[in-house]
Amino acid sequence: MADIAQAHPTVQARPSRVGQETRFAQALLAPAAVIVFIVMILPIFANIYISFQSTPWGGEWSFAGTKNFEVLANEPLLYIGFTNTLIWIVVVTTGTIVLSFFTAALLDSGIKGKQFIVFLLLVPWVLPIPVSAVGWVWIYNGDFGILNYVLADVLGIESAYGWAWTGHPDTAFTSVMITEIWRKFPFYTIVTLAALQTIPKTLYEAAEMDGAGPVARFFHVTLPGLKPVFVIVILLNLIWTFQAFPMIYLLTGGGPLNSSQVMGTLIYYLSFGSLKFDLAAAMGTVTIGLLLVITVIYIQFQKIMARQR
Amino acid sequence: MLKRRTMFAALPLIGALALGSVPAMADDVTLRLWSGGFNKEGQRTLREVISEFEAENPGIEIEYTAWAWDKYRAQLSTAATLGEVPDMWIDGLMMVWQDAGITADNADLYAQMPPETVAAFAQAPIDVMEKSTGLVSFPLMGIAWTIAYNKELFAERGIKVPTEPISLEQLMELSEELTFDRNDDGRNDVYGYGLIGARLSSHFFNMIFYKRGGEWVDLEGNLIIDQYRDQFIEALVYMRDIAEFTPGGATAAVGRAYEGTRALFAQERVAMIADVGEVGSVLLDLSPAVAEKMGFLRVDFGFNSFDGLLVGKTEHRDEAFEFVKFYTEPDRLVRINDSLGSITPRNDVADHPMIAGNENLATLAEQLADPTASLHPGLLLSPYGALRPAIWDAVAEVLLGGDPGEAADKAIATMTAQFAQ
Repeated sequence: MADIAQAHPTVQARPSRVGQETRFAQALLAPAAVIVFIVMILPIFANIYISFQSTPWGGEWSFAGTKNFEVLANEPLLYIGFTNTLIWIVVVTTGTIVLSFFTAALLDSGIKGKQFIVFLLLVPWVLPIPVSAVGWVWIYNGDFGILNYVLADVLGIESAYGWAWTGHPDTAFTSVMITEIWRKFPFYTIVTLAALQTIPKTLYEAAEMDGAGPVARFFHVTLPGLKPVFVIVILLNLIWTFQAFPMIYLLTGGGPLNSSQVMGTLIYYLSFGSLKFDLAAAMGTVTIGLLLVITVIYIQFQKIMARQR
Repeated sequence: MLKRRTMFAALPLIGALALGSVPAMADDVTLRLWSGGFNKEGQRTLREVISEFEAENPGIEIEYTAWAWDKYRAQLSTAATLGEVPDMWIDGLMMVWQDAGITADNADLYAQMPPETVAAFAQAPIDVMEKSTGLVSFPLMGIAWTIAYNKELFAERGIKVPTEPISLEQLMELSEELTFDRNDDGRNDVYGYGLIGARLSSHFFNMIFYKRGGEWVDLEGNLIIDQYRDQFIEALVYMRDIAEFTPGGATAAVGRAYEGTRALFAQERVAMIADVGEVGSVLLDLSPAVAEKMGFLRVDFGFNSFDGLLVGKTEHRDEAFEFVKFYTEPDRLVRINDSLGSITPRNDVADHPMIAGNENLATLAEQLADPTASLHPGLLLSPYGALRPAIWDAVAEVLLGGDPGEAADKAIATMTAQFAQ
């Protein structure tokens, strides 16, 4: 190395073009990195710090060790929130993926008015969540909602009269999950549709010539073709769904009888309802831990996918 | 050269500004005032009063911040922790802020007020403050919980509107009489009472609970609700019973929150709801025709709450006291309360043009002045807001067919555990 440098002094004296470009890119990224550090990384550490503190109303903070986690471990609400979060993740992710796949398949089948349908599909996705939520609050309203009007007055189902879909523990959580799937599936439909369109038609033709029926073509051509997209979609959906908060907060507030509480709503109520910042932070730390596990899985999957490519 | 000439030309101006502004800056005092959950009209009126005050008191400026209700106490708590508490803030809670060490005993300021002014204030909150936290705040707004009713529905059923305060038993009877099938289709169209079974069901619960002799806290702010299990159960049972006269029955009532019952009232589908003066302005938006038909019944089971202006440990107590004297003057206090939909916590404002001749305000003022009415526990109890959901859950559980005793035990245990944390 030293010999080369002596023989070609200019090689070492002038920085390589690649190195320059890297430094330039780093300089461009630096402001964004600083902002991300301040608004995301720092609060995570602050949250972890607070979860080991005692934070009385307006009083002095003091080190509390693992007390907050011990309190949480004995708090039934934590288990309700955790269980509901898992149900939410499984149902919303599955519902979204399945519905978006079938809708994308329908759109890919050469249906008429495809562009218009795609435009309509995007409406739930582009609407701000509070706007969608207000609409659904009225759809589900027991006294004035259109759902009950159709069920009770049009279809004659008497038991639907006055039934508050988001106000009854038997139906509140399901109602919010349906709304969330309605909001999310259009985006994934577009992604899946794009993936479907990348599968060469010649593969289907070849499979057909080999005697493969529609089911065989689906399992041996369509699904393998969608696999890379599905993996990313499922993992991203898992992470985004884990952060469930706005739709639940706006539709049910976690109630009634805590039937729709998830980790996100519990953290909010512990913070701003009860002003127990320490317990809320502890719950946040637990959530961060779980999210980290999912993120590691996501990164590993990405590596595997990259290797396969 | 040009630059130097410009600099010389500007010197007299800079000098004049410096000479003129420095002494004035030294004299100026800026007071910070916070409120939480004030509606737009209330904020506008308070800003108006502040402007009038600043005009009359040059050198004192008030920096007013109106926080959203759900963030307010978190904001105050954080400010207390950081030592950034405003000079004055409006709230119903007293003990929690005293525990946080940010209140001041303002007994000396009360002593400087004209005795007739102090005597004109609603006495109930002052009495409670004196016995518990000391005189940390000054009256600002009064809230009386009573029953709002639809006059025409009473007339349609041929029911004479009671002139004396009604009891809980009478409310149940009236609810039954006012539940009827208007168009003979075999289904009731109008219901006597709009029951809230979800969020904020604790307001009606409290009315019954207090009437039965229940208490949340003692004067030291200790949670004593466990001593009133029977009253707790009675309140739950009463709510379950009156649900028979609410649209959709108990099951539908579970999902009905505050806004829902007001909407039903505006549609004339219920004849009575438990509410406060604010419902008047809400109805004007929802249905002006129904707003005109609305009246308030005097009840013997009402409860009152008060929000005061707390003057904390500020360096500018004298200036803050000037503002207190200014806003508590009858006309200004009436204007503030009128815009907030609350009741002026003074007993000498009946002749005010904004109050005189207003039958509903008169009823609410009488209700607020009722010495037998209970006070909202929020006045003392620190984490009241955090404990209320336990009541909402208990009410919902009973309306869904749960056992009132078990629901009460669960709620009391939850509240006791939360209070202890």
